[in-house]
Amino acid sequence: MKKLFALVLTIALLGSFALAEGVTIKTVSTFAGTDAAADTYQQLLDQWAAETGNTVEDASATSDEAWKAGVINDFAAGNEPDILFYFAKTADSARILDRVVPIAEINEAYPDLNLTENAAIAESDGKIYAIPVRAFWEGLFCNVDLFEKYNLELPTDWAKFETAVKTFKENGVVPMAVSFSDVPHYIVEFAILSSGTPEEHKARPAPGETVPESWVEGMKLLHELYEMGAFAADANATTEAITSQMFRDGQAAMQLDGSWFANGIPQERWDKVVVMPFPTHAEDADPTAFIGGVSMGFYLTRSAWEDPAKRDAAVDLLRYLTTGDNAVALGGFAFGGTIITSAVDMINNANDMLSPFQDEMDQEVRADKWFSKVPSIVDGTLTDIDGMWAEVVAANPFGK
Amino acid sequence: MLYRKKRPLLVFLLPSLLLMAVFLYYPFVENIVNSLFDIRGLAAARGEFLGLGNYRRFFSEDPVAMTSFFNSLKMMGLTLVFQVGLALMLALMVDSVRKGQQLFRVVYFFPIVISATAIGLMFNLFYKYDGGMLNQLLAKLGMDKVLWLSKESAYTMVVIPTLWQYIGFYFVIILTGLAGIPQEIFESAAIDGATGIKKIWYVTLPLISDVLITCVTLAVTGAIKVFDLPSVIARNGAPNGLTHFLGTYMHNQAFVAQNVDYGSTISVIIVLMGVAVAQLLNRVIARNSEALR
Repeated sequence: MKKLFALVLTIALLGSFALAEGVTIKTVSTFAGTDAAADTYQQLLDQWAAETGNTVEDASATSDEAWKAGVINDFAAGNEPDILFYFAKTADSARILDRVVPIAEINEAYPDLNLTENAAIAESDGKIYAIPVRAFWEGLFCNVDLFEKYNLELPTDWAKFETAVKTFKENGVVPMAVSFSDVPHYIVEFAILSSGTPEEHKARPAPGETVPESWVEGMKLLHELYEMGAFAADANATTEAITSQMFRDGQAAMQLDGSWFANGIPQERWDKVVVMPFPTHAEDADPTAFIGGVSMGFYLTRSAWEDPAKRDAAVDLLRYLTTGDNAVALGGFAFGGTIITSAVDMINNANDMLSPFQDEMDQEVRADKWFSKVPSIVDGTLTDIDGMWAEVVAANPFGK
Repeated sequence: MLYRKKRPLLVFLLPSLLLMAVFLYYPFVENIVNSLFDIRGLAAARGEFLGLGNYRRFFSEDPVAMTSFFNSLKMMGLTLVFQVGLALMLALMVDSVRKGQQLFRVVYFFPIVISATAIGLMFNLFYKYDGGMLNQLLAKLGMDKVLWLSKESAYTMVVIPTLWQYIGFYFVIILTGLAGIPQEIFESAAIDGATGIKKIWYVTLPLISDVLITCVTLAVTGAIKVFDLPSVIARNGAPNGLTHFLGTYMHNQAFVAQNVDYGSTISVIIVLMGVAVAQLLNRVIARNSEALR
């Protein structure tokens, strides 16, 4: 019996050696959880592994601050993956640039690949390190059935928006779902965009400079909306999970958010929700402008590039995921109906697409000197908006 | 006699000592060093040497830090009264009950086995202004809705579930202590005329003083570190940073603002406060328990 057991163990051991041909490529991405392409991504990895005889060790997870911190920590500890799907052209990506390979360098060594070099995500040194597969957009999500119920026009201009806010408020519907303590990101960005020209939104003031007037007016607009009754009474205290659920349940009429938010809208409501630009408050603001771009892309790490055993396989997996039908499959959204058609209209009709400037800000400055003050701006306890921006700019938010 | 040879004991103790050194003491020392440098971002390299600048900022320049500091101090006092105090009262009452003691044990201990996140989410739904459970109840009674997490009431609303969750934990510890008191002592006390409050004050409490010291130390040091429930109920110290505790503010600085050096500073302050308070409590309670005896 013991001999038989030893024989089985030996065969299993030999078998495992036989299976271990090829190399193991470590991957990390956000194609996980409720992401529309989570299953597709896993299938692509499996297919590539089967076709090449290599192995893929994937550690994908839903993106949040902890995930981002984990990625940065892995890089710092020399435990980075070989292929990474991560944020591009942000304060987050700036910290890994010396450990990833510019796409131009890969194309030079492998000219046949001709990997995409998307100038929209060129980093501050002018080089492009990531290959995006999915674009994003941000806009005003509206529950159309609520607008119809109260005979309201969709908020294509500020007057209609104000009428809608007042009517919803009078009828016990929360006009805008937002949590200022948890996720103020979208509304502050749109408030600024609505209060001035796109050029002002594109400003990146350095220490000693003043912010454009629209940045001040945008913050004042938040308090104006609060006074108008645009938010739930507990908008400064509740969480984003609760406010988003209120929108999905039809208890709130509008929400400013990104394309990822649409993934969580149930299928039966796909034709009851539309996306549109946030109405403009200032006369010189562009009513068609919206926030969008490419925020994430696939990176090849320097450690994989410099490992002769892994290099070809890692480059091949990068090509496999970022070209042809595979890239299209990964770029898909998990929603349809009027959400997608209205989003396409918003994009096609836009004169300008702007990138979210807060993503380029130093996180400490953004969190401590801006976002933490937003609830007090909203309820009117902080009125020195110029002073707040002066503190933000003095800390050099775009220069680090 | 059993442990005449000490060397084998050392062999068994060494691995845990090593683990503690590597995973607790070394990171703590690193943490102290980190608090003295400017570190922008998780896993970023140490930058400019700040000396005690972060500690100065905490105690004199940062109003949110002071809010979190005093909120934690208040929490310590509240745990003494509402966690250990209530647990003691409940344990004394349940100990006197002849039937159904096991039921009470289970009922009071149950919140401990529920995850803090689940309890936090549950209370989020209770406190929600539009459609929250409490406001629905008020509506049924024909009353106006209440903003439960207003600036004035948010701290209390966050503290209530935080205190409530751990009452059962101390209840069970104290009840176990009470069960260990020999019945003969109570019988003797009864013969001497000690009943009711007198029996509790002169017999029961002195005999469970060690248990109470343990409970008080655990409760108060736990209060300094409180994080999970406030973090789920009131994100980022909502509203307006008024419900930050040292634990939540440390997390906010280290992981949201990615101000690692300042987060390290707050964690060092938490540890120092914990050690100081535990020492103080041990001395005060030990002196009082001697007097009780």
